[in-house]
Amino acid sequence: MTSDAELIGRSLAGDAEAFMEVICRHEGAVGAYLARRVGREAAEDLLGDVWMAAFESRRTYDRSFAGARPWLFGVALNRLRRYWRSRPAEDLVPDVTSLATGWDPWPAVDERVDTQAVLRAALAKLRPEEREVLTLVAWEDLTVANAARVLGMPAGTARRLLHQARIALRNAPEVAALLTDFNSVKESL
Amino acid sequence: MNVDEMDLVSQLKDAAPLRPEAYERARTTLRTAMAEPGPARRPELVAMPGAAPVREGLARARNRRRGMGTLGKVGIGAGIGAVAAGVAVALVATSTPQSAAPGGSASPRAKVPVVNSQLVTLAAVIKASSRNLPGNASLVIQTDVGAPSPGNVTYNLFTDGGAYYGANNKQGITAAVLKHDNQAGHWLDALQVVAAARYAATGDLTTARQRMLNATSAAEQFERLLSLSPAARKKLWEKEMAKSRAILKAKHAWPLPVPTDKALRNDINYEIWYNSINALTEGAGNPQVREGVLRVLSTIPEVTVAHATTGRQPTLALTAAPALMGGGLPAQVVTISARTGMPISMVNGTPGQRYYSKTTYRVSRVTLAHVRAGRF
Repeated sequence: MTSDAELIGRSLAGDAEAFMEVICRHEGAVGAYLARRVGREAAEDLLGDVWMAAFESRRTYDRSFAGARPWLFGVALNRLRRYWRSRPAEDLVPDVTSLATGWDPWPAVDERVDTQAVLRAALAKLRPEEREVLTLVAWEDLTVANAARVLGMPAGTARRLLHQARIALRNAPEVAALLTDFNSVKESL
Repeated sequence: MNVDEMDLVSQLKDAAPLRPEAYERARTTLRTAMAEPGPARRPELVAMPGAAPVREGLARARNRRRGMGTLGKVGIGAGIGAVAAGVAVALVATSTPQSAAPGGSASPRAKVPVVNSQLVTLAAVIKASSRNLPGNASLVIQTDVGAPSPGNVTYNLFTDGGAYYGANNKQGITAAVLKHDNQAGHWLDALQVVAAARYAATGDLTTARQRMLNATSAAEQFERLLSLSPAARKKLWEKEMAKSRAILKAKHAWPLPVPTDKALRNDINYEIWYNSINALTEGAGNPQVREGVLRVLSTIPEVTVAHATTGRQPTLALTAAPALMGGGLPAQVVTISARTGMPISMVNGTPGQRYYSKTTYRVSRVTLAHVRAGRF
């Protein structure tokens, strides 16, 4: 299969359809990335802007990387930052993950909801760059190196941030309690 | 294996997926931007006077206008052609018609030759095999197939009496019929395109094209612009563009060049294609409609016909060239049965290769009594 890098190269040579092919390959992942951070409604509004921003900036794509997904996540993140900056102050919440709406809590008004609330609160306490690396790896299935590409930082920095984030979470009392619960239940089974 | 903090965070991964139409809308936004010279710009809404209100149901059942789905109903530009359409409506609506260009041969009212005899031949076959239709309504089940989400299904019931019921499943159709929730009143243009197709089955082709063209509000304006001499068109265009400057600026639209004869002819033929395909999908249960649609489509030079096979059945792939959509956008390909003219699918994209959206159609005849009873 033709690599994303080759398709972007063709796009720069005037083949518009080649860029559409790149988009079609990654739209599901980028759409989900946006939805997890701002909810479905806003994500649907932002997706077209992300594609246009990617198209406009495709000359900056480093074609030594065959896959464009981390780059597209980076473009999406920039668009998200603009979106968050444009929000009225009263709409801002400290934890961006809690903005992701669309899930229905009612079938699971139980400890699952409690667990999610605890985790969101713990994520909110992380430094933003730690949270970004952590969620890119945990939610978007990126390697740490690719998460670093998204965030425009050296891989070593991303590894350090991920390590810090994991330690911070593990040491948070409420998360530690959850881990103990989960693992003790598993051991008793 | 123990659960760790990464496993816990993964539990927050779920979020409501984007809807398929959102992906398509985003792609169209990009295609539009790519079609424009210079930096990509987001297409802006140019409201068309008299545009019908957007409703779900039939809105989803209808052909995607320039790949924009229901948004085309309110004139969201997908390329300069569509924006020009919006401007043209405003332009001519406030202008006095001027003298026709010498010769007037550009007018779609002029005698239109058949350019695709295969379609006329199939139309004749349909006519020859026509017989009394079973049932008293046509059920068109439309499935939007497209990455990344599973297809969305719409059930559309068109009764022979002119009523329309739309829902997302069988139960919804039954409920709509039981509640007499006839939505046809909101979609008079749907009735008009079907009526135009029926006329085309036996009527004069030039008149049939005209009726198909006039089934939607913007079409007449293209004709009137086309009837002007180049100088008169330029003068009028520039005058109206100047008047519209504030509106265009507010909508972040961009100055548009005076449309050429070729561009206007393409716009006219695209309207005819668009309306004809809508007639085909909405009136597919009626052989007279299929026959008429094929006859009208046979007059459009930018529509090509290729033999194909779908599910081991012989089919015809009718392709509207990108030029018809103003260029820069992918072709639209409608696949029909080579024996009956029944619509099978519509694809926005390159035939046999990449596609950006695909809609499949299943058409059957039913009786309202069976639908009410949920037996269909």
